[in-house]
Amino acid sequence: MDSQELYWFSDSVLHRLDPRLKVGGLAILSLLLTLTRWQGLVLTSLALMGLVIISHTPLRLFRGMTFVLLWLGIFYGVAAGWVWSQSASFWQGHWSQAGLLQAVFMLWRITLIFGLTRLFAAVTLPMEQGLGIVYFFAPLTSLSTKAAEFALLLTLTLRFIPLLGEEAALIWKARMIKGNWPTTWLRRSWEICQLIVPLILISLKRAEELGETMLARGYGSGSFRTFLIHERTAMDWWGGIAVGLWGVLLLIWH
Amino acid sequence: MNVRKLAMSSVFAALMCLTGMLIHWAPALIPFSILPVFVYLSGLILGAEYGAMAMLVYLVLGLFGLPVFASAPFGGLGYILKPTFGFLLGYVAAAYVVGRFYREGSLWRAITGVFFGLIVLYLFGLSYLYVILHWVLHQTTSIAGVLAIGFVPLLFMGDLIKAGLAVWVGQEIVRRR
Repeated sequence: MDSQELYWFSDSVLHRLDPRLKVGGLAILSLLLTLTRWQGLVLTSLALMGLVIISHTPLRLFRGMTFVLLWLGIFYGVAAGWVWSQSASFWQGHWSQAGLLQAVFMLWRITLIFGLTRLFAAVTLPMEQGLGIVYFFAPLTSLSTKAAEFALLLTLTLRFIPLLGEEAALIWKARMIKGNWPTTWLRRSWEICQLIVPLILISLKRAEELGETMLARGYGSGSFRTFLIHERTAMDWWGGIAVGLWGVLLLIWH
Repeated sequence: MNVRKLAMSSVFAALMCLTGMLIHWAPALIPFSILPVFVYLSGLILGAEYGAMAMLVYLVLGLFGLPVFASAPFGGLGYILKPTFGFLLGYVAAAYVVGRFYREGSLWRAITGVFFGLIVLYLFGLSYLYVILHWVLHQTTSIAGVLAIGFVPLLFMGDLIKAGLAVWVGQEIVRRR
């Protein structure tokens, strides 16, 4: 097993699930987590721990969230827990138990949503994530031309990310021929600014080529269709039922 | 819709995603967040509607879980609960404002456009902070209080430099194309 960026290579049940189920599940559960009470938070905490075990992802993958959560904890702790009267100044305030409890609940919710998102990124390849997202925008294509074009924009963006990554790597290699990457912050900033211009020019050239190809192939406004990316299996159905049940419980406890 | 502009919008959204990913994959490579530079550039190069559309695509992809935002967990709906989410919403509005002001080739239009874009970016960022404090945490807060928490003069100076950089890069690209 090995990790590449945010994805963790493994062959667990979660890795094999339909990306549409993972994208939809993450979106619905994240929304419901903002509404649910402590019972829902306990259930989600236990379920998240179970999912981490099932997915064979190591806990160190979640370590990157520590700093952000610490910062958010301080922000919500001070914003909700520190109170002062209107006639007094900020420094003459005191800690409020109710406010601190509110901050703890807020941080708990955020930790769970961030944890679910991190797990999602660890068990779903970036391209699968993108295609899963586009799938949910596909129904919009029947609403209006603009919506269809927005869905097309999402797909094109996902196709361009690896392509522009390759272009950036080529520009980077060309730059490295000139000499080592500077160590000082100021010189590195200047070098980055120098690289942005050719990267954007090449990217725009690619876009123009694509635009011409689309026109040549008879692209008509609003004629975008997504394609199926995954055969649904029995495991996906069971996964869907589990997410549905989880969501209903969060809603009941809201 | 202009197909050429549509493809260019997707390129800008992809550049934003790629930069967001590079910031957390190779932090030693990129010394500062250049995302705002691309926001202003999208307005300068694509115009108001397409620039805003490109930023909206970036935002939607990030909110649905694609790891394209600059800080952990890099994507997902949890970002809505972050007090700084307003700045991400501001990207869409800032790109629109820059595009509205700019006329191709005009340096002064580029400077004023990017400056107003920066103001709109902060307006969205600080308003969202107010919403979080007032409506989510039910705290009595004033505009001065929000400014004290959310407006860091040193960061604003950094954003002004980024705005200047966007003007320079934008003019260079318009000239060379």
